[in-house]
Amino acid sequence: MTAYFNNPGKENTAEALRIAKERATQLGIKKIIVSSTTGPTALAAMEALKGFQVIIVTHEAGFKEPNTSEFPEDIRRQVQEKGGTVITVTHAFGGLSMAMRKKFNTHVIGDIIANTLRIFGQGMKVACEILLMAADAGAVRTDEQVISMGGSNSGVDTAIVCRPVNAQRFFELRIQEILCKPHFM
Amino acid sequence: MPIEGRIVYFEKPGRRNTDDVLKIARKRADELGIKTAVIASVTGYTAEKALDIFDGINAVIVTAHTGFSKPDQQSFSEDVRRKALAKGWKILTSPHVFGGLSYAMRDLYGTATLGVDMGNTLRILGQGMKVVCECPMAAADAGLVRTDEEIVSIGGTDQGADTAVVLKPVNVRDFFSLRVKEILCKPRL
Repeated sequence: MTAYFNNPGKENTAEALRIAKERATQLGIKKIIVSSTTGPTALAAMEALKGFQVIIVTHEAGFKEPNTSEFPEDIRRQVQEKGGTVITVTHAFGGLSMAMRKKFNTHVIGDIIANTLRIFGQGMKVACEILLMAADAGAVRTDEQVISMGGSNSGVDTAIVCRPVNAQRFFELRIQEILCKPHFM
Repeated sequence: MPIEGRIVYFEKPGRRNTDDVLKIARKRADELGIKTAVIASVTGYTAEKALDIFDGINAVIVTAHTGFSKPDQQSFSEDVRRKALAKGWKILTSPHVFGGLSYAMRDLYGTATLGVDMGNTLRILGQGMKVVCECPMAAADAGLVRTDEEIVSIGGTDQGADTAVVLKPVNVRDFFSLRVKEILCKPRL
């Protein structure tokens, strides 16, 4: 089954994690990638996904303010102590595209890809983006099936099954299953 | 509570899935009270199969643009065109939304611009997903579907159909406002 949430947002986090765990178990998937900006989703994922290798992908440092990470250090430690991995790297779709947008008010490839994926919801854009970041960081292999979960501002509301690709091979990405997403009533 | 949906995943892309796609899309259209379908059909193969399955639905058949394969050539079957028109269906032959000038740039300069980038992004969900997003925009710009009512959109990979979604069409200029509400079926890729 696929779950369509009435609205995007963090209220869907617990159900999205439950759905991801169930499907991971059915498919024998070991690794689940989860976006988390400020930490609560990371902790919820560590609790809900016990027994899986959880890879938390945070915002890049400096996303909100220079030299600042939005992801609390104590939660990073908690995740690591529980066997999870926390990745903080350049955003795959943001990066230089965001530099172009900020400096020249123009939209280039990363913005176009991101806005195209947003037709399936912000969470779909995030779920795809963090896959690339996790692959480029070496946290997942590109020949193993994983679940990737993203959300809209906070929490997670979207989960997909696929094999990761590196950012430079983005157009080779193929999403195998959509487990949940907002419906946009 | 979330709405429970069902996505049928086909083992492989392609025309072998056409009958299943049409039946799945018709069933969901009836469940949701949807009255309009946009169906991509290059040769008429999919459109002809839809004639019975989508009886009672206002269908818009979107063909490939004339000259897509060879200059001045249109590969949509004249026989199927007559049958579809006789049912009161519309047949749209217009420039491809993601192709168009972007393909001109690709072919002349070997460079990928906006439409090519968007098309390739949607292809991460399958070629059919690119098509089911593209055709309703062409139909909206032609005035054949409204932007304030849900439709089912059906598309495929090269031939036949392998993907169906529920969405509310937008005009091309509003592409980034498009939201795909439900995915009914797609290849597992």
